[in-house]
Amino acid sequence: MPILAILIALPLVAALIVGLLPHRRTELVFPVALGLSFMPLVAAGYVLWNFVPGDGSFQFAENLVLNETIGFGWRVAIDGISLFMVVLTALLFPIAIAASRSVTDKVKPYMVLMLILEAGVLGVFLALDLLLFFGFFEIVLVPMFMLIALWGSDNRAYASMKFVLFTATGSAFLLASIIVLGLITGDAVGTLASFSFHDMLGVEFVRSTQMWLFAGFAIAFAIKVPLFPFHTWLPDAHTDAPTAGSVLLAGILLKMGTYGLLRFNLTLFPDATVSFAFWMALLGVIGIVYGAAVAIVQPDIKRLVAYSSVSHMGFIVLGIFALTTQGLQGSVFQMISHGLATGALFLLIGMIYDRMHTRKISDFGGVATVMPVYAGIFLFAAFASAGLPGLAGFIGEFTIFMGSYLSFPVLAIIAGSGVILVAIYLLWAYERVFTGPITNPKVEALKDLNFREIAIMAPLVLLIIGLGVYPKPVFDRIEPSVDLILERITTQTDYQVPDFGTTGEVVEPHYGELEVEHHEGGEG
Amino acid sequence: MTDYLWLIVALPLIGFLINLFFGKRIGEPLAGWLGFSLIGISWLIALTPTLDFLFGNANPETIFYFEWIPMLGADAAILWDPLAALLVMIVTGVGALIHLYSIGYMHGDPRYARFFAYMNLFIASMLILVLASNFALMFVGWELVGLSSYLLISFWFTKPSAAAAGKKAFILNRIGDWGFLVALMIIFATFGTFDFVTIFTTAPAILTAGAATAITLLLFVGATGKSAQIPLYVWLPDAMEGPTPVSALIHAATMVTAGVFMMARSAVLFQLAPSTGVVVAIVGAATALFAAVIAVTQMDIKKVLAYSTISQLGYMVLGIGVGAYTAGVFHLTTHAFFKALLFLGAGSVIHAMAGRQDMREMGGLRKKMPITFITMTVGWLAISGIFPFSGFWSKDEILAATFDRGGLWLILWGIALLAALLTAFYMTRLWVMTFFGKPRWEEGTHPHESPWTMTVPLIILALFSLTFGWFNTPARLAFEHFLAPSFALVAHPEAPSLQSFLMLATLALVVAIAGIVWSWNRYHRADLPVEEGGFWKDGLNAFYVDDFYGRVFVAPGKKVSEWFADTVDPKVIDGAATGIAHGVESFGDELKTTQSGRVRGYAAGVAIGGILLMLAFLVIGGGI
Amino acid sequence: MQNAAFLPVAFEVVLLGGALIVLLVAVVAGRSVKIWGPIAALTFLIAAGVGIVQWVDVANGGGGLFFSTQNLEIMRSPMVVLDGYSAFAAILLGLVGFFALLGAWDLISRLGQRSAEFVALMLLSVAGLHMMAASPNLIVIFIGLETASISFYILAGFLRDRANSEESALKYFLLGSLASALFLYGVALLFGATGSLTIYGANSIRDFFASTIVTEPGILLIGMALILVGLFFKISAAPFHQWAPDVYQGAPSGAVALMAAGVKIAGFAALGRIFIGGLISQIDTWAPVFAVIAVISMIVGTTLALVQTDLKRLLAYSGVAHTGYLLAALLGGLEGIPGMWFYVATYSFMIIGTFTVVSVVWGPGSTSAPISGVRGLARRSPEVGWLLAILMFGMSGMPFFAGFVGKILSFVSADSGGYLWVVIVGTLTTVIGFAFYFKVVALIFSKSDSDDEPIEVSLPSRAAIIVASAVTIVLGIAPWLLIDVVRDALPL
Repeated sequence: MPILAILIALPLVAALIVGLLPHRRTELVFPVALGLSFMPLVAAGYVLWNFVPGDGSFQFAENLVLNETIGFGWRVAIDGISLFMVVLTALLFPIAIAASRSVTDKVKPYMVLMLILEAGVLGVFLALDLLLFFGFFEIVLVPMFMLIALWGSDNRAYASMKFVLFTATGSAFLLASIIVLGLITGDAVGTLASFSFHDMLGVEFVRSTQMWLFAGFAIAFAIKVPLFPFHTWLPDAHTDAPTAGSVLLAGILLKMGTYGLLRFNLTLFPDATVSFAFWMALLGVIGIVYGAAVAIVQPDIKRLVAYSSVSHMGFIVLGIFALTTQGLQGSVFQMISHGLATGALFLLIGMIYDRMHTRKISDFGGVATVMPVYAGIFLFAAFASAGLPGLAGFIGEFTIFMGSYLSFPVLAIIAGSGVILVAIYLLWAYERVFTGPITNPKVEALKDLNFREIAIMAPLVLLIIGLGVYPKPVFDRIEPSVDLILERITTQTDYQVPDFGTTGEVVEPHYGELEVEHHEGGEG
Repeated sequence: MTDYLWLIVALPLIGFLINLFFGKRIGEPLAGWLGFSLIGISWLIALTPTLDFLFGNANPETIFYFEWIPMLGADAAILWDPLAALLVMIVTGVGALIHLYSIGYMHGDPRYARFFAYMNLFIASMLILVLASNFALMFVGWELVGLSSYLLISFWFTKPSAAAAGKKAFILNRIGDWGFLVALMIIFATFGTFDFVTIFTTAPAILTAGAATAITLLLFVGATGKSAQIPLYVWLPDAMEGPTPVSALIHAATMVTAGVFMMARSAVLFQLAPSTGVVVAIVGAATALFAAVIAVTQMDIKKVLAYSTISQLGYMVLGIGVGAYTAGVFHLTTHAFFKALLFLGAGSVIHAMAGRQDMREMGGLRKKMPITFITMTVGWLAISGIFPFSGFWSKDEILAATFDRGGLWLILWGIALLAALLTAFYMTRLWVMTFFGKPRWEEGTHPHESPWTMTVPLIILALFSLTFGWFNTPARLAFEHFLAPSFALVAHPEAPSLQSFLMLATLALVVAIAGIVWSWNRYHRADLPVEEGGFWKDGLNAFYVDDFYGRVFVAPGKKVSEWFADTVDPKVIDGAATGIAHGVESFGDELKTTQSGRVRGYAAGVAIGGILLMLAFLVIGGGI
Repeated sequence: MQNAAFLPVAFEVVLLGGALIVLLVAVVAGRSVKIWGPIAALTFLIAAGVGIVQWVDVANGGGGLFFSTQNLEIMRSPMVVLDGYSAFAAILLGLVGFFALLGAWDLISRLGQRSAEFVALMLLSVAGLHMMAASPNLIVIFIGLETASISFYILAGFLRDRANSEESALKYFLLGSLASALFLYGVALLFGATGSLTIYGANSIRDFFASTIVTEPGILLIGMALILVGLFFKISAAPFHQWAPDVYQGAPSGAVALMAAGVKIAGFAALGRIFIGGLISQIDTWAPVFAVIAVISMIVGTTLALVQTDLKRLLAYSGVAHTGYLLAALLGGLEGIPGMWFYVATYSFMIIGTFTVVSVVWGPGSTSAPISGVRGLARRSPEVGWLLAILMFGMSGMPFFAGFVGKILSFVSADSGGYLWVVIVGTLTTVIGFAFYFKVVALIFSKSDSDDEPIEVSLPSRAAIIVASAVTIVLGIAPWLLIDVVRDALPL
């Protein structure tokens, strides 16, 4: 059974069904769309269940050549890295749709676009044919552009266009690089071109080519991540996107960038990776500090969280280019946890926006008095994104710290200051929004979360705790795959993973004579 | 008997969850009793294994539960040794008493159940911290106590000051955590694991002096945050915004001692880095003195105790610095009892004074609330270091250990002794201003003794404050032997000879009594001395350290991020990007002008294009 | 007796026949009857059918050279070639003609008695266009060019009552004649250089280059340059494009579709035939020029389209850009031909669909189409709105739409020819393209401030739009359906 093809097709089928709903019955759209959006989740669950943990190579591979001359085909497969991106996607979309109850205008196209978006994103994480990958990578622009441009807030026209042009500019370099890559690979395998990832793995590209291609890929992904200084589209897009848009943007779309770096840059261009590693890591660290610093003084809560994303994604990039197994595993884990935590934050902001129709921090104050449940969950999400131990965010961040210190001690230490800054901007924002006396009469009238909203948050909260307390199952599936990438780098280049933990002889503690005297002090 | 140790942590956690979700329905006072009893049970569970250590029937062991972060070698496991056992006893024991106390103290609070939920959460986090078998897990507890402290300080969050204090505490702790985090990075890079046993047993072999110094200094940075040492102590006085039981439990007895515990736990590493010891000792002594000076000038009864806590923590840190780990932990223990006692007593007083905390509005309370008076008197004598109360013994060990180092260390010893004098002075001041003299209460306050749920804990703590010191007299170092397995890898400073001990002890005692007498004469009179202006004003404002930090760090930091947010991001970075876009557009507009609409122009265009084309061909094709 | 074969010219014959019938019926049956539309439509379909027959015949080895004359010295050469190349052109042009007719239907039905001439001209022009693709002889190609061009001059100015329609027709005529003249001069020089007018057959241009080494290439080079000027003008490659926006805007929307699509098809067919069929040996000489012109067209086309406020002008400039991408396809030599066919075929359908939408929204006779007119289109007619959005994404080169595949094929070809820099400029200008295509899409769905009265769409227009969008999507998702065909559509 071509489960992955089905997985990508299911949202499209759902979109079709929703699109064919009778025009009059708009009230049907939401429940139907929501219900259907669980189909991919089920399929993803099936994949997760049948995924073989110990195996780092690609599983569930589907390989159907569609055009020999340019070597293009339906090539999809899943490994430990894409597995969790796929599951996260399949999970966040039903949540995002459920959170779109407040969308009443043009609800049908809205849902159709959401489902198309899901298919596109799933494709990005599954495609192993670079043309196919590019197709999915680029097509995601269309529904996202529409979601922002049609259902966004005040500044949507500007924000949506900015989003498209930034990302597309990156993709331009990506496409050019992919074509070059395809032709070189074609020469190797004896066709005009070949875009098969596996064929490319067989080719060792000359160093200079690697440098250029790496740059081409990296620009596209750096803009998507977004890596400092390519990040300025993100705050605008986030601020003006509808709630679900922001959730998916932060939760999943940004991960397409880091995923691309991990899957393609590291794997295909090992030499270039080693040469660029420090600079990429440096940009990541600048992003961590800079994003956090900018977040502190944002007057708009949504912009604040957007900049926090810039900061958190910096961690992921740092971890990736640390080129240590800890760093890589931590980065993949951080992609998951950031998706959950930041997704939760944007959902919560959306919930209060539906009530107050403002995002200005100064319009709030004392919200916790009238919305205790909301405040509680918000604080939880804030601490989750601040990397509080016991929650998912900590695992990724902590692992990245340990992994990146091995390669770039100074960068890791600077990045460490992020734990201070994140506390400052999140807790300060929380203080101004939730605590203190109520000043704004509109706050007085706020209603606490209803059942639907709590039900939306519940799975995220549980996952954040669960992954924080027992991340091992995730790591068991990530580790083999990232180790394969690392092994490829070490074998193809002279790069050596920094060794650590030199062990010397053990001094045995001796309790001997102490026990005797113990009894004296008995009664005390 | 260690099979059920996981329950110690689990029970408070369960209590937290129950009170968090069903607290409202359970209601008062049942929610309180639930929280109390669960912690009591935890204490009982831990009791027998602890006694096993005491009677030498058990050796330290690591109890493994599950792999947590595999590739960091960080497991969910317990290192069950005397040090952990002791801290568990303190946390659950004192914790239980304070819960009992809170049942009465928090009476009538709208978020009664929530309070106990947070308290249980704190207990659970603190237990994770002390039981952890590796640095990573300890860091978890380390951060979680920070969280619960944040929640409890800003428990009355509608008060802006409370909310701000909570935030301040968490952020300052995070600054310390940065140091801790970096220390962990180096530890992992050096040892490849976080496991205590592995690290401490291999450290002497593989750890270079440089690495040891770096690690320990950074760990100490973490400690200055949690244990409120210079320069990060400023959060603790503000933390008094929280309910008084919180101050007693978290900001006196347990959490603030986490830093000391952590350093004691890492004693092996500190031993390998003598230069760090100097820094630690100096900071400890300085903190002890500086905080004591501030305490002298405070008018708010809780603020006095807060600064006294900082000062006492300074003693413990000094103890660690001079390598007297046992002494440091011993003082930690006795301090847990008498400082909890003092805070609860103060709470009882505040309770009686209908929430007023200014000592100038108190006085003459001893007749109104005898139990509080008597128990607090015990606490006062204990902290002042009067024979035979517990404080005397523990403080004296630290002084002795410092003295024994000789040389320049004597300066630190002198400072500590001076701090002891001031301690006796300000504690007497507090004691007198509260309980003696003529009542200075506002109209309509009718002081009354607190209910038994509040007085019973006072009595029990008083007993411990009195007796616990006898547990480790120079004659019978039972406490030291009890802890010995935990410090098996550390060289012990040989115990001071009896006569030198007697000499130092009497000296300390004399100093303490001097302080008391001086203070008594100054404050036990009809009208209080006027304490305004100059030193008193500066002291009351804690010598403006907060304002200094605000001016030097906070304000500039805010400026920088504002500059980033308002100039760099929109103008420079985004400006570059949008600049390109506009460039393309204006280029298009330029081209537009060629679109004259006149045939002549177009024809010319075709002609010129044709000529250029011909030239191109001629050049490329080599026609010319 | 191969020379008298009918099949090779059947396409032209059918179309001319159709044109004659239309005119005769118009004269005989008088103005009352209005069946020209159906007749023309039928003719186009038959022509397309003929194309298919030719395709099959070629597949069975029936292709070759025809109508070689003996008597005239200079004309001793085949006049018609039947190969996959010409056959595919036949099919494509037939279909394009048919759908362009459907798109122009509203206009035709509005023209009343004059509609006969209109459809007749459409039929004639398409016949001429195909001659450009189906002849190895430069003179015949020129004749085809003129046949088509003259018909287009008239169509452009068909609405005499409209001033700018007249103006655009005149512009088109004057400049077009200039270009044709240059083309013809180029042919003469090429003849002078090689002593041949034909690409295949006895002492053809090919043979000339195969047998002789050119030492004094001056004339030859200038000849090539001038031929290119003519063709570049027709396919509106920058800097020979300036007529396009004015003409597109001035001409009735119903008529522009055929001009836009047909001329590109035939123009590129001729380019491919002459430069890859005949002058492939000179590729090192002309490819750099193609590359430069391609890049200029991409940049000029997109940047100018970006700043347009009139949709027809925007489409004209985007057409310039598409010319650039198409030229890139030829940089790969023979391997680029399938890419060129794929691109030009899908582009034709997209542009026809779009212009049909234009004539639906702004009226078939409209000569100006301010972009603001699409505002709220999705509300006035959801169907048209969504279809236009699809067409826009298709032209923008968004993956899973036909335009993307075309771009990929042409970029691959360009890169394989060693012109990576052209590919980079191409991908970057594509981004500029996004800017205006997405702008249109955003307008389609945004709230319309003024009139929300629904648009009624006639059946033919609907058919044209729907088919165009369908092609855009189907060939975007399953491109091999066409790729596998055009792979065989190579010149002899």
